[in-house]
Amino acid sequence: MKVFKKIVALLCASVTALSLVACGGGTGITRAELKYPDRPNADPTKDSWTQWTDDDKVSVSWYVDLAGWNNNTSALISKEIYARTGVNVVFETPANSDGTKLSTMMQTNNFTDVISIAANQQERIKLAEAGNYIFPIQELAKRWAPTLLNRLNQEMVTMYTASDGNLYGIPNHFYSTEDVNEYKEMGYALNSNGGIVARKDYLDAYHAAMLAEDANWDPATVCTPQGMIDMCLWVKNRFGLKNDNPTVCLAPFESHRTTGSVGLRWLMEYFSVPEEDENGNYVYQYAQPEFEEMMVWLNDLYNNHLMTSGNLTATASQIGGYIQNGLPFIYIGSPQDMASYFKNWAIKKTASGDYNYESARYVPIVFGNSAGQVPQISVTGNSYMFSMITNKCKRPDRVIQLFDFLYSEEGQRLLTYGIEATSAEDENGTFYYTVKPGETVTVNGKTVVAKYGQIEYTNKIKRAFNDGNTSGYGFGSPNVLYSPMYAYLASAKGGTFNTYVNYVSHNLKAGLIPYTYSYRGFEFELDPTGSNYSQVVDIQNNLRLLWNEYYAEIICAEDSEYARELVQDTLKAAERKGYKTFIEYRNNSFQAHKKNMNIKFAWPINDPNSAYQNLKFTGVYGDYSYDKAIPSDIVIK
Amino acid sequence: MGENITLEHPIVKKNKRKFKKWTGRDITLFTLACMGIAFLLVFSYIPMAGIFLAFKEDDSRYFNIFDVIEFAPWAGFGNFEEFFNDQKFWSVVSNTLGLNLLMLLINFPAPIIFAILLNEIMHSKYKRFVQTLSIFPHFISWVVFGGIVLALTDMTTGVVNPIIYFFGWGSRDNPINLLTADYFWGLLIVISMLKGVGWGSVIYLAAITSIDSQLYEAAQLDGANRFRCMLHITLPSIAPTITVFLLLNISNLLSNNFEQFYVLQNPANIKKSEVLATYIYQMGMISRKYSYTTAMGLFESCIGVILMLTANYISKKVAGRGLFG
Repeated sequence: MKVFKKIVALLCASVTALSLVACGGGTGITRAELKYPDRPNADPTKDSWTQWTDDDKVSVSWYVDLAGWNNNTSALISKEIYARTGVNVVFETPANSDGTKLSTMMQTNNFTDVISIAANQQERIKLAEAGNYIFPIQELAKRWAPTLLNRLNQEMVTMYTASDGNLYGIPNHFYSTEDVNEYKEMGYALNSNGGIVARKDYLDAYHAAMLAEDANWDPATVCTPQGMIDMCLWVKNRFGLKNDNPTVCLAPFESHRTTGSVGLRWLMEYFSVPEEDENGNYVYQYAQPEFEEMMVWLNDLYNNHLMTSGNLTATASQIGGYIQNGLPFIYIGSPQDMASYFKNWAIKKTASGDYNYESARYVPIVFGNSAGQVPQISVTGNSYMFSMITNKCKRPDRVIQLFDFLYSEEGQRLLTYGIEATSAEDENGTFYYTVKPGETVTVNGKTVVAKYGQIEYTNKIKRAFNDGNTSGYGFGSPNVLYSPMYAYLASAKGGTFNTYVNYVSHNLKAGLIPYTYSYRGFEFELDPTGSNYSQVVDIQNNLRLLWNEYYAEIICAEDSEYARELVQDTLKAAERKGYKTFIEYRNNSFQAHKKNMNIKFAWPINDPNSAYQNLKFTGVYGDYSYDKAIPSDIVIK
Repeated sequence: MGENITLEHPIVKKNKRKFKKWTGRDITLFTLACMGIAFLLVFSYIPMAGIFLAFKEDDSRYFNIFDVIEFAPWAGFGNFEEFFNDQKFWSVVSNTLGLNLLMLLINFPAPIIFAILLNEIMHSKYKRFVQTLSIFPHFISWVVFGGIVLALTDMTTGVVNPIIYFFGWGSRDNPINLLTADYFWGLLIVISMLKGVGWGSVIYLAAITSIDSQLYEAAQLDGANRFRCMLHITLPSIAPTITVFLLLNISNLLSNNFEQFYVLQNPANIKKSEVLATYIYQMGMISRKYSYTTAMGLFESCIGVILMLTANYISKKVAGRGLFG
């Protein structure tokens, strides 16, 4: 028996020692290497994706770091992509969005052929800066997809070029300034990225009551933190809302470990919490008095039983449930994420009577801090997912050609609209041109050249949208290289307006358009070449975790004095964690970014020449002239 | 030279091990054992090589753990020092210990009591029904079970709150949120018991069924009632099983079932729900501080081993039985 025990012990020790040797022996298994395949270069005069042969069909794995992301590979468009490029893509997604699957891939250098991760993640920069983990896009394109080099948007290239001068991936949802300006010339405007919405029937009732009481009542008095609390209390009492009702509801804190509640970010914009001071320097938002005022306001809401602790513990679907039952008077977050719940509420409220969208909708509202500052709300974000070809990819030559196709106008058209038909009634395709590319068109009373033409879905597809039965086509999927500006500019409607939810989603934020600004000045990353870059990244992570841990405690503090004290205590803890070092470093990157963009101020409030200076509050209602009326042929469901 | 003659002693010959030819049954058993051994090797022994990480410096330049092992400088006990000086150290350790001690006091005896009570049910169909009903939650994953708990205890739309309001604990104007820090430990203990009591009782029920029925008959002849039988026959008979599980539970005083905390954790209860397992996950998988979290894991394991050895020693001294040795 003793001999047996010795053998087992020896065996275990050997296995452990062998594992260690295998892990750390420098055998080359862990070191990244870029191996360029020995394939002939592509002909630069022809689209790269047209140059493959039938005997060279390949399959690549593509990881999208987004839980719930869905690509219907059996859909018409996915099949068409395969038919045109000869590349079959097998997508992988994580079970949840906390980044653990990506961590595991990075820990073990066990990537898929292509990975798509959030463009604003430090890991994107780290991977690019680490060297030899990611293929440089230009280097691949030079050899196998020269046409892509001409297509790459230069503004995007400048923004995402790594410190070694290479571009290591391509983002989707990139809004180029050129396209945005063209969109504006057509009389359209982009919506904000988030906002605050209120139940219109309650809002109208409050205004009617105030005006009935005093005909000279100024609606702008509601636009202060106290004005909002007074209005919410009136609604609560008038409509008999109990203390367990989420009268004011923040977006879910579900991903508190990573991003916290997105509602807090938009609220910071409403309270004009500065990210840049009047001299153009980057400042720590959490150390600003406006931030403290915002947190104390949330605490006041809580102590007035307008906000519940249940709001802080509810999941996204639970909060969706509140909305579709019309429980919140005010919702603070990204309303577009909850659009289907808002739609359900509208349908539910009017189910028993004649449908009346106006009486059953939530509308965007505006208010500001106690100093009376009008808010500036950032417009639709800059980029979303960033797709990179990893060192594990055996056929980067074919993947770069796939990128070339997906990035091209032809690829974007296929992703968004499918296959061309000759007319609205042609059932062999999914879209048709109402205006051909390059022709002039009159939109919103302005005559412009339609660069991409004007496109409509065929009647068959419109019926499919109304029936909620478009999954077989796979529009917008796979959207990892999707350009929304192409979709907007080419659309005869100026955007994605195919279903009832699309209209509801647009109208939840359209009223805020006069209060929006481009966030491009703040969209920069920490300079990865700095000597203390790693330390600063650690500080950034620690600060994020610190505030996420204290938000709930501050909101639920027993009184405003204690809430204020908690904010200051957390700020002191942040100081101990090194926020000043972080801000100093970030400010250097910020100044370099602004210099690059040739702007002095990133925040319109600091810019004396900005149109912002003329903005005034007239009331909490937004400007609903930007709303889209729901056409009669759109089925309400 | 004469011929070497070996004389075999009859007893020596008798003790010499004979290797039988393996039968199909032996091969099956060996294969099954191999799977267990392979599992242990892959998931318990090979990962031990990673312990070296605990003594390497954390450097976010290296996001590949093999790079950290190969290139990062040695840190000595620096990662352990950092953990002990971490401002969350005491709150994390006290949450872990406090909750586990409470669970040891409440959740550990629960399956024993449940098994003994279940054993007393004479109606076999009813007994089987209760047993099935109590075991069923074990087969639901914590993610699903946690989701059900979150929906049921939702402060606004859940079904639990109206019930507790009915019994006079809170009201819609004085609402109670069971998912906040104030109630988190209580909630966790209750739902852990709900999920685990049936499954936990299986082993004790098996131990009870192996008790010689003559002992009960003899006791009944001597006038013992059912309670006396439980106290003086059932409990002492299953005491060795209880000891083994108690010792194993004690060694896990610093470990937690990660999933149950993770699914129920939220910003309003994080002060009470952050335990070592979730903190290690947070720092390792999300903040990617591999060396630091390996040190935390190693600390947890060392304390576990010390606790188990100590408890085993005490058990042997006091009760005369232990896990080993």
